[in-house]
Amino acid sequence: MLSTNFVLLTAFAYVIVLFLLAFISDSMSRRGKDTLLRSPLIYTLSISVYCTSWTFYGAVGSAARNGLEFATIYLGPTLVFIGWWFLLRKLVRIGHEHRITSIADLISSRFGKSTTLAVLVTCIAVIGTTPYIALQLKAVTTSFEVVSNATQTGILGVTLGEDTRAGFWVAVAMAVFTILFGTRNLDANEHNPGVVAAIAFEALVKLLAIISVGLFVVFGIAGGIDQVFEYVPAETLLQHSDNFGTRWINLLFLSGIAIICLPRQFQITVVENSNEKHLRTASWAFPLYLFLMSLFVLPIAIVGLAVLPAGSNPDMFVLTLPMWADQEALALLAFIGGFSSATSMVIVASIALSVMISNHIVVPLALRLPWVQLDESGDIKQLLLISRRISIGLILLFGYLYFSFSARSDALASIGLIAFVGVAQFSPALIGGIFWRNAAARGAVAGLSVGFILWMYTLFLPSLAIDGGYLSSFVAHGPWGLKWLRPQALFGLEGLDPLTHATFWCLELNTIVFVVVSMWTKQSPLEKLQSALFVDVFRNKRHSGAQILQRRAATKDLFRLTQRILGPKETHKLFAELTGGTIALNDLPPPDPRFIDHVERRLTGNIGAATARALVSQVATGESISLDEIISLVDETQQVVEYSQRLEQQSNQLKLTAEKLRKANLKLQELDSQKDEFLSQVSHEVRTPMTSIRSFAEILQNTDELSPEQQQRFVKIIHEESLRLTRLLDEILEISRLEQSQLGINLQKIDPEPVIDRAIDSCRGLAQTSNVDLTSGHREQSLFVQSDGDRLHQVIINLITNAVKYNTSNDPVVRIESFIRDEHFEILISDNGPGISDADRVFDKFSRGRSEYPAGTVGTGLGLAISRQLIINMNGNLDLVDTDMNGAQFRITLPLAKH
Amino acid sequence: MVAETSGRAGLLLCMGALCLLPPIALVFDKPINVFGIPLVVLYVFGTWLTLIVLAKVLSDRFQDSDPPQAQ
Repeated sequence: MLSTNFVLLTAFAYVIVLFLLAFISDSMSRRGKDTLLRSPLIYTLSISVYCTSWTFYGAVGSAARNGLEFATIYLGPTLVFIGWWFLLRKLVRIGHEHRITSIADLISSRFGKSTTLAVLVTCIAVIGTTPYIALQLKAVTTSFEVVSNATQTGILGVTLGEDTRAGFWVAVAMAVFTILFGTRNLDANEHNPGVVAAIAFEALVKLLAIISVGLFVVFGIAGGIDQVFEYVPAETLLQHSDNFGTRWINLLFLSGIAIICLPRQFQITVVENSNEKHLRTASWAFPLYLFLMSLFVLPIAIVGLAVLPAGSNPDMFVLTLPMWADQEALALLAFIGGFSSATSMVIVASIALSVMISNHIVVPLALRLPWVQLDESGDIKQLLLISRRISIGLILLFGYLYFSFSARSDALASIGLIAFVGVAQFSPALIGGIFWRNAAARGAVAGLSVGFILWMYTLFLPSLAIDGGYLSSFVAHGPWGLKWLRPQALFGLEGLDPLTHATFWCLELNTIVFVVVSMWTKQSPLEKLQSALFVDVFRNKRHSGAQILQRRAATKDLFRLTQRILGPKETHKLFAELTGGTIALNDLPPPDPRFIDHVERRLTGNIGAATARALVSQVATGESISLDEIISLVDETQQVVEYSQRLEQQSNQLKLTAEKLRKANLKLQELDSQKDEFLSQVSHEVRTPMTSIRSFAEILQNTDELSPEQQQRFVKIIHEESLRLTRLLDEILEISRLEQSQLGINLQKIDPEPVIDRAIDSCRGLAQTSNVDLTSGHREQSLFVQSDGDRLHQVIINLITNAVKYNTSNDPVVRIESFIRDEHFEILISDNGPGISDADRVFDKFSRGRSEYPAGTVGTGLGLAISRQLIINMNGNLDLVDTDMNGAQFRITLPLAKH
Repeated sequence: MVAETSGRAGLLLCMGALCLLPPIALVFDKPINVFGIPLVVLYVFGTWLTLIVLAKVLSDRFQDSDPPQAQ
């Protein structure tokens, strides 16, 4: 037996825990330790604010009356979440891009930032949600009375409904909680971590509660899952004739819409979403949560119907079954579960509504009233905060009043579904708005109004009817006895249950009016722009609207306006960001449209799109919207063409890159084969002297009877070959150093003629022994070149020596001349020898270009390659001149030094 | 990859809706008990769980292909 005080104390302790949790999460988030709070898991759990006390207690009641039908309330959202890629993702993306603060804000922003629409949606949301909050208070009150009164009437789950104090205190506690933790930030993109943490915690509590009760009922009372369905009520419940009928379809559809359109769901799923990726987890985790929540609903309903006395209230089975079995702790847990479902709904719903009321009603109204002076910095911010707090208080007060007046009637029992139909009126404008480009504001206003009026008439009004009252005869016979106007059989449509009847009329007429009016009205330019930005949110570049909306404003006015809303600190931060650090307002150039757009966007996150636009329009003048730009934004073909052009461009670039790569690869391959060739040449060149050295050494070693002369001769050969080998290696070393430009070339301004003379003199001895006529032809005088004298000397000697050595002519002549041509100094060394057969390769390493070799004149084959590299390092050139005469002519070209 | 996965997500959604609506669902609305549990209950909850598992598989695939990010 649980005493009233004990239950009260437990509930109070639970509320304290909520406050503590919210406080800790809030302060953790302030210190930046909010990774856990921003996890996909917390996001998913917070979405489960969908499961209110109406589902916690009411699902079992619904199952006890209509069998499986309760599952539709969870199956609809399941379908929407597994299809997140198509609808929810787009909503969340739009929410982030346009800093949406509520569902009213999204609809108003989409339709040209219309204030009318924002007000209309806010009113519908408030009218639809207040009774829903009342329902939560009723559930808490009823469950409190039931659990703390274990007499016979307690077990029945029926209360007199006279004591509404519990409801009142819950309302007060929730108002305080919400004001404390739900109105800390104005900015939609700055979330309420305390609230989200509390909601996630409550989600776990209610899941734990219902699963515990379920397990106890199935295994503790029934004795196994198959035993549950042995009870008599099971068969009657499940073979309900209306399974999968029109009501099933209707509920599936309605709950699917509600998960998007309920203001609290929109608040949690879209506004409080911190990362689009979290949706991916929620897409399966939230349906799983719903699955677990509903797993035991049917067993609890069947067992409750079977074991509890006749006349028991099925809506309280979750609570009364543990009480019947004397499981007090479990009953208390069930009570706390129901309590948490009620409080979480109340908290989130009142935040969502208060944001709408302050943004879309209070601030626009205050700005229009002539006697309200809002000129001080941060005063709008104060107004917003205060109005949000007052709204929360008022919403809960109205909820409580509604509950206390209707506590004795059954008016609240069906309010859950009635609210679903009410908020479903947003769906044509919402879904049409983000997928259909031509949806127009007037269409949305007309559709919403028609849908709302029909909802009031066909569903809300009849729900208020009390037996025998005026309303009940109104419902039964129609106004003034006009039968075709009966609210539950409008235009003579009979045979449907009232909910399906109302859903059909409201949504159908709402949609038809919305579509027809949209097709017959012209969108304003701003509407067109917003429509393009919303419908193509994944395709358009971010902030691409900024260039289209042209307007001018004074920086000072803009600054003052921003300061009125964000307060001085935030405003300074924002302007410093935008101007790159300067806040000296008088020095700033007038802001460009992009800047104004940025400011408006930032304000939108605080006060909603319509109000932000209205305020910015007060300081910005000369607004014009470039129609051409909109057309290019809207025109799909244009985008496709641009896209394909971009693709083409990219593929061209790829082709170019591939071509470059191919060339580089070829070059590398060539270099690689050159390297291989060089290596094999080197080994070949080294091998020849090595072989002769080795063989002569072997002869010396193995043959005893060698004459001293022979020995002497062989040793001499070995010595010569070693010298040649050393020379070869020296030259290889030199050319490799030259090629890497490591060998020092000492460039100086020198007169080359004496160098040439010196070289000729050096070679005279050789020429004489070879009987070669070494002559000097035309020579220049008094000039200077940039060169290294010693190296030039070396090159000329090399060329003359070659010309002398390989000259096999009968009358050998070697001629040296010099000229100045085209600002260059040329040295020509010609001979009348056999000439060079392979002129292309004469400068390659190890190539011996001469056609014939006189005996014993084989060189290393590196001389010409070294010479050429030396001259190239002097910025000159060494080449073979093509002449008509016999023999070869080499030409050294050097740049003349500037005087 | 994303286009492929989103196609499959669309298919899953359509199949889920089809299975949970008449006339397909009506096929299973028969007074038969399987392992002591009515067929219709098994059907509804079984379909539900299957949808969740498939949605999980798809969500992992979306993760691999990493759709574009908002912020």
